[in-house]
Amino acid sequence: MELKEPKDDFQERFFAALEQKDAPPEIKNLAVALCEKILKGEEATA
Amino acid sequence: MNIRSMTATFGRLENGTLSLEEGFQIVCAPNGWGKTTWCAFFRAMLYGLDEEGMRYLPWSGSPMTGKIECTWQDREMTIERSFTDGTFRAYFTQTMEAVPELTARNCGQVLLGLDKQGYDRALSLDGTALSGPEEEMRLRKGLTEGLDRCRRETVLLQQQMETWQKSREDRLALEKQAAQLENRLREAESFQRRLEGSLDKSQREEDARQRRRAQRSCEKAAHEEARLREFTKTLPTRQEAEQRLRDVKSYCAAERAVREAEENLEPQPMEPACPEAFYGLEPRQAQEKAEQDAALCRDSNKGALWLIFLMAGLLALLGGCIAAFPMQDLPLGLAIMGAGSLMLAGAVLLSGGSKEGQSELAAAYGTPDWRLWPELAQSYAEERLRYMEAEDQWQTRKNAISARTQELEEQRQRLCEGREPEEMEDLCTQVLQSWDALAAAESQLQNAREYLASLGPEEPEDSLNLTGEETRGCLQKTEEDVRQLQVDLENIRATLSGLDDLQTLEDDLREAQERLNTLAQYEQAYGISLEALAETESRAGQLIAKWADVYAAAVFGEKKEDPRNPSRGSRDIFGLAQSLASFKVLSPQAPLLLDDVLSQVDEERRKRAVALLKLIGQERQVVLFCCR
Repeated sequence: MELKEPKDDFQERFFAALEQKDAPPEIKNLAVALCEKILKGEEATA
Repeated sequence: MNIRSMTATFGRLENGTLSLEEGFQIVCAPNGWGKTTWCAFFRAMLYGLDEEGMRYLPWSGSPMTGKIECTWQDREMTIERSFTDGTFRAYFTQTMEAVPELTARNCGQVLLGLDKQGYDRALSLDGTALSGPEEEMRLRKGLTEGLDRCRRETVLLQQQMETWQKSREDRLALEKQAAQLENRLREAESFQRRLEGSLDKSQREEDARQRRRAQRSCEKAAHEEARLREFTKTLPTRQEAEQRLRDVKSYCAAERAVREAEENLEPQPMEPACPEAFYGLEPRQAQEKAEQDAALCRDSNKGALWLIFLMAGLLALLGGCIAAFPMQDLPLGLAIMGAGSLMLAGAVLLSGGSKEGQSELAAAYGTPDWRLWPELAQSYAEERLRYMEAEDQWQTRKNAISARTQELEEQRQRLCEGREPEEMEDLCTQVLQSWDALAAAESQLQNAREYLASLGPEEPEDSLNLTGEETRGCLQKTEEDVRQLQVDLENIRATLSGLDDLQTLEDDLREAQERLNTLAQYEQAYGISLEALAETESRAGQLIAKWADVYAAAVFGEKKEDPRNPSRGSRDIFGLAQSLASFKVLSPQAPLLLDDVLSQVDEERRKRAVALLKLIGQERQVVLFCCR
């Protein structure tokens, strides 16, 4: 028996949703940088 | 997480043990054996006992306790829980060391990644668990903690800024108060002096004399200062004079150095004596000429042509005599003797010419031994080359000194403007002294003015209009005021010295404000990220639905089933697929304990379902309880 794994990229959906947020570009860039760090398991502090 | 064994005193189980293996396995037992009880026990061990669990009080009346031995994050771990007294213990089995991150409250959440509600929903086969998959949870945790940290730091920073702001305001108020007190103190002291002066006329007169003297000193100092200022207007500036003095001194030092170098320059090298033979020749040419002359002499000595002529002439004379007298042939004898005489004359000429040439060369070389002439030429050439090299070096040094002398002369013309350097140094020194005198006069004028100001304004003799008694009383009160003002001023200054200085406070406030701005940006970034995450999570169920379709299709195979009107067995399959999908998405590591989920499913689909569970068992532990 073989199972065909459904496609779903959480990060792609998340960053697409983040890009749609109404905020200045520098805040969006900062948010993207923070989230990338968190997803990599790195420290993301101010 | 993999369960190795479970031991329970729970419901019908009395210290019962169930050992399990990794991957997929079937536990087949008859009804009433305790399959449902084991599933409920596992849930209670992870999430604690609730109303549902109270149905499983031990039938024997023993304390309700349990133990699970499992493997978690590649380490063997034991979880013990007593439902009777609420104790909980989790430790690594081999070391007995406690697992610090596990508590009675968070055990299920940490081990399975699902809270109790999520676990129940995943098992209840409706697929509506709320928690996200691992990376969603990590992101949510990171963003929430980051936002909390930002907010906490913002609050602390704002409190600190309020403290600094208050210190700054306090300091400004105290400084203002101190300035007012100083003014009042000066006025009180002045008034005190006036009162004392009015009591002592002689003192007042002395004050007046002092004031006049100070006034005169001040005027004199002002006059001197104005004179010097006017005088210095015509002079170069201090910087120009200092620069010129430095340049002149530098020039003098350089000039002394050049003079010393000139004195130390060695005498010009003497040209070596040139033998007559080498007049007008370069060393190389002289060597070649010496070689040629020596060769010529050698050849002329070796050849001895004049000797051949001499011998031939003598033989011819002898032959002519023989021919003329014994042979009686006079004409032939005379002819042969004539030829011999000519040969003898040639020999004499040749001998004389060669000797004369060699004598001239010997005189030119200074020695008749022609073998020494090449050595003489070699020696002369070496001496000549040494001389030329020394002459070049000497000339280079001489030229350098001349060039430097010329350069210094130009510098001197520029710096000294036709004067001697010493004279220009004196001039510069005088200019600088004038500027020093002006600075001293300014300082003296400033001191005189300050001294005059400290004496206070001239008081009219009758300004107070007080009797002697009134003046003494007023003086006593003023003295008390002065003392009190001094004490108050000291207190304020002591308080001020305990506060940070204004510059430090303002620097701290500015830095804090910059940090606040940064924190505000981070807070906004965390905020929009959490909003985006909430919007993304709302679609997490889509993934579960997709996996459920995959699993259901795997069991149904080619034979499609209408999900709107399913049979009992089909409903169980849809439910199982939904549950498997929920655990797949929400808790990839959790063991699956499935309680008789295939009892209503027909044989063919049951086989396909078991095959599916075996496949899933390659990724996680799957325990299927069943009756047959």
